[in-house]
Amino acid sequence: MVKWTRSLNTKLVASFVLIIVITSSLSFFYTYEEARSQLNQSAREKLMEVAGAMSTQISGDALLSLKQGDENTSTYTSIIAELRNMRANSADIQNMYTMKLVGDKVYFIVDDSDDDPSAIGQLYAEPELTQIKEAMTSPSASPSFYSDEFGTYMSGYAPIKDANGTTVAILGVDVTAVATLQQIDNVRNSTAMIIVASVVIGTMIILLFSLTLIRDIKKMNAAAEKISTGDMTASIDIKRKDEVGELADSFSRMIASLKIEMMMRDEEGLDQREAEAVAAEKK
Amino acid sequence: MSTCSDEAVSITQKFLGPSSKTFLERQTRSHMNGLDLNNLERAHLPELAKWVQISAGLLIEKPKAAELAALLVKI
Repeated sequence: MVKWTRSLNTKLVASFVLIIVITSSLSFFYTYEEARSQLNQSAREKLMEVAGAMSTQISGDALLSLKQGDENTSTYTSIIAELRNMRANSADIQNMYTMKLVGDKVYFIVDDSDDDPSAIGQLYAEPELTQIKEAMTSPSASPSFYSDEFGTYMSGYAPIKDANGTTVAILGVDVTAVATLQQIDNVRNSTAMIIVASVVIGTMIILLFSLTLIRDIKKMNAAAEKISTGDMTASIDIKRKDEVGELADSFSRMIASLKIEMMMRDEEGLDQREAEAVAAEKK
Repeated sequence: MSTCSDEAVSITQKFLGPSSKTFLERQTRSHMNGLDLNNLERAHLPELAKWVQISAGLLIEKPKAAELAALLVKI
């Protein structure tokens, strides 16, 4: 009896399961990364579109007229009302603000934050300078979602123009990643479920195939064992049309030939057995 | 050997292997009035097939023996 650790069955199943797991894992990571990248790109494009559309609703001339300490003026109030009104139309938008780029410094003009809004002229401590500079000519967005202590966000930027069509400020729109992260989670979970199911089904198929193969090999082994101990009643009952079936046929012919040779040495016994077979057939 | 016996040996070898000739010789000698396998003719085939089915049934699976007998009759 072969130890199960050395059994062909164990080796076959382990090898195939390993192959399935490796292939599935690679598929999973590729699919997940591809989906994440696509959803990220889709979120960027949508954000740039939204920021571009919203920036046209803000008057660049009105923004330019605001100076430090103008937070209580009607111009400031109407701009902030406009920003909040636009924000209210989209559940994903967390914050909207306008900025002015001076050299490599970015200063807030109007910030619609509900809690502790930035004051007019306040320096933006860590701006996405590349994207903000890009937004001087056309809408731009963060390359991917970023996380801070308030959550995971992506920011979109678009130019705000004055009456002459000159870019005088930038609109910033922060959106939460909740919806996109949820979609990424869904893709990950669905892919993982499909892969787990594939591994389970694949393993079952391999196990079944392996068991039938081993069963037939065991039959041949049992017949060979019988012949080796001089038991000529051994026969092989294997009905397969593959290579194992061919091997079984060859094995069967070999056994039959051995039996013939051995029986011929005992012709009287053979006569007796044939007579019994004829009698049995007549019954 | 006659063509008929050659064919019979050739067919039987697919079922019983290299000792087929010995096996057929025994069938004709013991059950067909001492007929020499070399003198086997078509007319002998039904009788030979009958004995092959019985004797081969002692060596291989019975359905296989029946299949061999059926092929011998068709020579």
